[in-house]
Amino acid sequence: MSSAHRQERAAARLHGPVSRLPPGPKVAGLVAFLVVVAVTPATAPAALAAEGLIAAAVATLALVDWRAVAGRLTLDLPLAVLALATALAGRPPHVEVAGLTLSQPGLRAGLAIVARATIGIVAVSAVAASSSVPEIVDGLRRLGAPGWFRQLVAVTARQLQVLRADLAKLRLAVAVRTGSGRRTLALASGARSLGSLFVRSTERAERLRLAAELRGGELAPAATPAGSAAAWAVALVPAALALVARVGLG
Amino acid sequence: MHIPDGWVDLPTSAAAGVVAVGATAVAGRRAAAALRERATTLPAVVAAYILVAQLLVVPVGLGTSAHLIGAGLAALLVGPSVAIVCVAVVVVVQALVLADGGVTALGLNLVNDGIVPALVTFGIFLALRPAVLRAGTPHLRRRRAALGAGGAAAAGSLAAAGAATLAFVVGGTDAVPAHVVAASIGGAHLLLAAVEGALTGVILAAVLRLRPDMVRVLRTEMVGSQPDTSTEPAEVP
Repeated sequence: MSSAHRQERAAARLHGPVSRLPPGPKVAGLVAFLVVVAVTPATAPAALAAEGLIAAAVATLALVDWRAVAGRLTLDLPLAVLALATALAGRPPHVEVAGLTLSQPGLRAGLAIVARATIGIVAVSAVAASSSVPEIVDGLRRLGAPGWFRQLVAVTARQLQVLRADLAKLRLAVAVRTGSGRRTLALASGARSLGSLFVRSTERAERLRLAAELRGGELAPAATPAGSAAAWAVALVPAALALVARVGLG
Repeated sequence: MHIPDGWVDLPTSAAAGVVAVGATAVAGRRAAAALRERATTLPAVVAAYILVAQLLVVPVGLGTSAHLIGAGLAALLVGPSVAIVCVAVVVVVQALVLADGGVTALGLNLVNDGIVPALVTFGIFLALRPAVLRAGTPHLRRRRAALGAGGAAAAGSLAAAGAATLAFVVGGTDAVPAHVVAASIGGAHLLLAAVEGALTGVILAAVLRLRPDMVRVLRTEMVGSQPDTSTEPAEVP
């Protein structure tokens, strides 16, 4: 349909031990691990550090692209600001850190927020790097997501590729027409091209619906094999380790 | 903003999850009825559209940038029930594929980024609609629609900030007084609300110029009206 599809197929996924795990257990294992992280209190920094190491180890096994993970970690920046605010404005007792008077519980809470968010980003990166989108969609079934919703996620992921390519074309056209690299102008025309992108993509949705009706079938995502008991056991190892760290170090 | 893992305690996340799942189920049924089909293609394309629209980042200083959340815009364009279904897909894709926003905070993110802003924006715009549709040239009406949409989306963004603050006060750390949390989240969202409002207004105006029949919140009044290219050339390359 679009060159975007080819690009995605061409971006060959690296195959490591984690990518061989069936998606159902993998997504369930991710959720279990993150639930344990979420209940690890700020007063147990050693447990949080251990959970961070577990996430990093799994991510290494999953052959994540650490540069991409570093890019995603910029999502932590606003949280770091929030952490600083909690440390500055938190309740007593206060401690001196590098000449600043900081609230000890506030500092702990702020650091814990940043730590959990970072662990989350690394853990999700590990799953995302080792699964194709259809696999993740199938993994959603293990979380009880109904069929219509999974189908929706699958079509969205495909359309995301197409729309990205569309937007790039629109932007190029705007840049050529206005012939300006000025930032404010680029923003304004970028917003306007988003308007025409909506019109284009809604018209495409209509065509997609027609095509699906003509085929008489659904746009059903392919099912992947259910996990064996061994796969489930492997997938739940990080969560189990995190639980051990939470209880042992907490 | 996208709430990360471990931002609030598990009971609060679970409660938000229950609200989110219930609201998505209801919205899904309503959307399917409204579209007279299995709700797949339009919500999927709009969800992908929101994800792409979020790529347009507006630098706001301090190394951070703001971007459109899009729930309010989607509510105006396709109606609140389809919009809520879309944002549900958006937060799932963000959390599981893009590592943006927590997996255990999925419900919370759907409430904050989807349900609250979609309903608030749509409600406020409905209240403003008579004023928007007062007599005037198409150009003038479009300008009023953009202004109203921008204001409504900004209000929706502020309401989302209120919901996020409430969640943090209920289930977050108690190391910080509640008014400090409210001040820091609210202060940041004043800026985000301005960005959300401006982008929503410009995008809505562009859609109104090209295909006024595609803006659901104004559809009954503008059905049959032709794309208006009288004032300036349309943006389609």
